[in-house]
Amino acid sequence: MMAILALWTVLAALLVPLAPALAEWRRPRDTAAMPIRREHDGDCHALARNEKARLEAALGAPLAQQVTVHAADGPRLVAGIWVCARSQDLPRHSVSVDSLYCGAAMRTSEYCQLGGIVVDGLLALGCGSEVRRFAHGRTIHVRPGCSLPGRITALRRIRLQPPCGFVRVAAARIEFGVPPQPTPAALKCTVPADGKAQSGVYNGDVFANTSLVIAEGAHISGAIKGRGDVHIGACAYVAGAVISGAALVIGRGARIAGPVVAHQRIVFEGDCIVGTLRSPAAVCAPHVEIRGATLIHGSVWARAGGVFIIPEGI
Amino acid sequence: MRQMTIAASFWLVSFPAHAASLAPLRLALEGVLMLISALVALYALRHYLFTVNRLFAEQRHPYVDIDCATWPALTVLVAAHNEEAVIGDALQALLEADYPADRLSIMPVNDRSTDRTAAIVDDLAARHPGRIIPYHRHCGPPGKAAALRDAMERITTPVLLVFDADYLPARSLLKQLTAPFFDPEVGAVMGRVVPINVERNLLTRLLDLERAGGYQVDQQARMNLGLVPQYGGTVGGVRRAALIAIGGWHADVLAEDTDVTFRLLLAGWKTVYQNRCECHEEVPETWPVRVRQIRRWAMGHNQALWRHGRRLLAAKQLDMLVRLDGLLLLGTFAMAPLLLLGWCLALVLYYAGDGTGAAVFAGQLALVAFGTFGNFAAFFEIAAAVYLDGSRGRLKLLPFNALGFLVSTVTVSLATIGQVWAALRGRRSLVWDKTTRFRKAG
Repeated sequence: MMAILALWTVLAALLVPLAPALAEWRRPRDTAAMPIRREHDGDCHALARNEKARLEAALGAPLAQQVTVHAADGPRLVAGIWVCARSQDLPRHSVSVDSLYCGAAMRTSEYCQLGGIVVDGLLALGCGSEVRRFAHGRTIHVRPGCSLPGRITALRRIRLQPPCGFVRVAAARIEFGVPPQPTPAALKCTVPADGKAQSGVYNGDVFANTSLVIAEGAHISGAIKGRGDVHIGACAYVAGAVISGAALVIGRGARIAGPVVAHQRIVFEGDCIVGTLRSPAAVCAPHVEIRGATLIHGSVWARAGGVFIIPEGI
Repeated sequence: MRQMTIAASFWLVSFPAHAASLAPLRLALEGVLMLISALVALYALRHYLFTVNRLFAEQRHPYVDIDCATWPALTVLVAAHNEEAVIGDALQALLEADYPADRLSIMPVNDRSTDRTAAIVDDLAARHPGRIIPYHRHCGPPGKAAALRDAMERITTPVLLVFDADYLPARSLLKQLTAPFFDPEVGAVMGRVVPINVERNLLTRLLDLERAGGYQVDQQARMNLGLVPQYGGTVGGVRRAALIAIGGWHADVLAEDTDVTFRLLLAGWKTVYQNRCECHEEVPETWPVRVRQIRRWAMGHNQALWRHGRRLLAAKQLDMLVRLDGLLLLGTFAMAPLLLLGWCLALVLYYAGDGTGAAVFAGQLALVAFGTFGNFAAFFEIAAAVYLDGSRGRLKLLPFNALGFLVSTVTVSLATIGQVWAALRGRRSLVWDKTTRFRKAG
């Protein structure tokens, strides 16, 4: 009798770990497939677009129509979004937790803190302002001292003044400081004067198992990949992508047509141009440091944080 | 093999008086057992390392942030053999993809279908002229690899992606999968496969756990550590120049994905795993279908081990850890029969009077194998994956994976033994066994 009891006790003890499994099998509670948002298209402007769509759904009509109807009214709260039709100036130290929508231009004075903001016209952020979630406008001007941990997107142009911090910025034209002009004069140093292939001209991709240095004025017709650090010399031109397995330094006056990716950090030394209006390109690394005026057509994404500073003496 | 082992066991038990004269044999068997134990321990260590890396180390997603670029011309191949129930949805999803229409060609590879697949494809192609370019294959050797090889002759784009007909890609997936090809070193890319029919029954729920462990932890850890992420044949792509450089798809393989992964690796190309490129797939809903699927995978993997194992060992241009990981990846399915052999040896030695070493090894084998090889994704990897995915309740089903583990072990062992036996007899014909679909049309 005791032996049977002991046997059952042992069996019961062995079955204890199976009890939750049996319960979950007989009465399933966690059976949903891992969700994948099929409509998600990876567009950087999606946040602003979704916010406008949410607002339109709450208003029951297109925003442009609403703006016309309520042009004379002041700001009002709709579906958790402050809506204003006319141009607005936010006073110093304004703090907005809710989202803002403005049908015209909006200017903030110094040290404003914004959650999310969508502007159909110009958005000018005053000195020391902060955007925590997102800001979107046709054109955005960022004054010195701003902090941009949120996503900053513009249909046309974003101009940032140093110093400022950012994470994700996207526009057809992102100007860090007064941007260099891609004039023929600027191109002179990237193309051999006699038009013949020289030691600085490479046709095809350039790859290195370790670190890689591209000489000043070199012209690369393909992409560049270095598993270690990569240094692009001043005034060099790269027609494809630049990928670094560690840190990437882009010399003064360099031009890169394709995406720029580094596994650790990217440093722009100034007067650099990435992408073109017709062929935008992405710049992405955990850390991005911009040390001089730079023009980027496309997007910059520094997940761990990016800074735009002009070192003293430049 | 098993019958021989059992016979040997009975012989040893029946004739203990002969034990002394059998010392050399026992020593040899113990040596084999120790070797198997060492291999199992090596796999266990590898899976522990992967899990710890995935949970605590820095994660590498170097190309996932490339959201704008001049995207290269792209061909999406959709392999289809009697896929009338699913092909329409897959093509429709691809048509809705966020990829420049003038740079995207969708090529359904209709491989000798006998159902309405061809009609559905042609209908969609007529409604979207220039975007869907069907390829109807009426002859030639069967199988996905052979079909892809023939389709390759019609492709001129620098990048090609491959999907199975039951996959429903999200709008952004094509860009995400193409982004790594901006890196001139990348030869292939692989996304994450996520089961969609999880709720169907216990099997689908167990397969959901297994897939999570395999992709969320195993593949991502290999990506983090710079080892050998595997191109999985679907939700992935290959650089055309790289594929041509290694001789294209081989038609005589059962696992063209594993074959391409290792040929690319040996030729110096990288395979990239993109954990955030997720795509739904349908997993088998019945055990016979599941068994056939594992059987095909095992035979294909073993074939790749046979073809590339020695070359990988000799590939001095590759890092030592990469070679080791590649070998362990190739040997995953070969371990199942070794595991069974180890269990049998432990029993034989135990009953033959070796009650110390054999018993210890038997216990170690049972425990470590349970934790390491559970359905090819270690159980602790599954637990970590479920945690990372943010699910909780489904983790309770983990003990049931022992069932799937046993089924897999026996199936893989039988498939491997049959494969070896066929090779010894000079019969090397490989039969393609298509996985049954369960989704209803419309």
